[in-house]
Amino acid sequence: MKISFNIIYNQYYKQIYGFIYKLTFSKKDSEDIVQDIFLSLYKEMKKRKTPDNIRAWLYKCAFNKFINTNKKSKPMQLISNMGEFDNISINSIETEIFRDEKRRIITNALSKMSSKEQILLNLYNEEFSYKEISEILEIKFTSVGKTLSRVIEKLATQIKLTSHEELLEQRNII
Amino acid sequence: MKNCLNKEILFNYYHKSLDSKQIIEIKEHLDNCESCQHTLYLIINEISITKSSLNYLNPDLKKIPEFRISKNQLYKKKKLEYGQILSWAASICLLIIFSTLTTKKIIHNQKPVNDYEYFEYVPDMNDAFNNQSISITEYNSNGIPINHEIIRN
Repeated sequence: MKISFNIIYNQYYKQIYGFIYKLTFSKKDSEDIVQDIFLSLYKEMKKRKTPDNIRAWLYKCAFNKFINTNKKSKPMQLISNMGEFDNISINSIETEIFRDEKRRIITNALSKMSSKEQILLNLYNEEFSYKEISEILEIKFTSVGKTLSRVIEKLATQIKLTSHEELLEQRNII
Repeated sequence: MKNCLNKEILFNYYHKSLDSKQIIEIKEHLDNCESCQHTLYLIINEISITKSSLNYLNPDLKKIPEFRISKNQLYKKKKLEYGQILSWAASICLLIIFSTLTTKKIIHNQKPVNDYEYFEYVPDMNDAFNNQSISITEYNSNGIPINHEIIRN
């Protein structure tokens, strides 16, 4: 039992960590939540048996933990956690500025969306099927496509708008 | 062109989450409709922006930390289980007390059927008035009922 858990842990840690990180934008919070998710899996495996679809089970657990964490504390503040990006090692200063700017635009666009919308987008990005998404988020299968199309349009428009505004501001400064 | 497709259908068409008949119909429509071709192009563009943006936020994780589990984390649930057992026990006790009291009340309200039960029976005045009769119970100095009479009008 322990060997199979270790395999699952090593196989999915990065994916789950990435998924949570893109919602919290905090390394510490992400580590805590991911640790909690794998602890739940460990207990589940010890108590019963390995879930049939481990990947979907882990993401469902991640979704629940994230929602619970958001309920308990204040909503995750995206902009306040942006400082953590400074720690990433980048070769040149110009590239670093460009990357930070791009990240800021994306995170600002994401911050204008609800937690569920962000999760939906991330699940879609992780190549989950409509059926799996409907099971993880506990929504109707028929409404997945409709919601996704609306949310993707919203994010893309927001990113375009923010980029355009930034460009205008830069021109005004110059 | 008439009967242009909406964004949702085109989105589902792109993800092949429609039945084969619908897919053929949409394909035929798209071949002849420039407006819908443009909408589909916009959808693909939006998907591309979304995916590249989300992938841009991927964290830089160099090493997977070791999974550690402490005894406290494992015993946490046992405490919860004890709590659950206690609450179940308390609710069962309350249920027993309530059911005993209710049963006693039902027995107490039953009318007497023999001489012995006459002494136990405490008449209800409302009942007596309804039946146009009055019942009287006499008690001795020790508080024991010695006589019970029902006077009917």
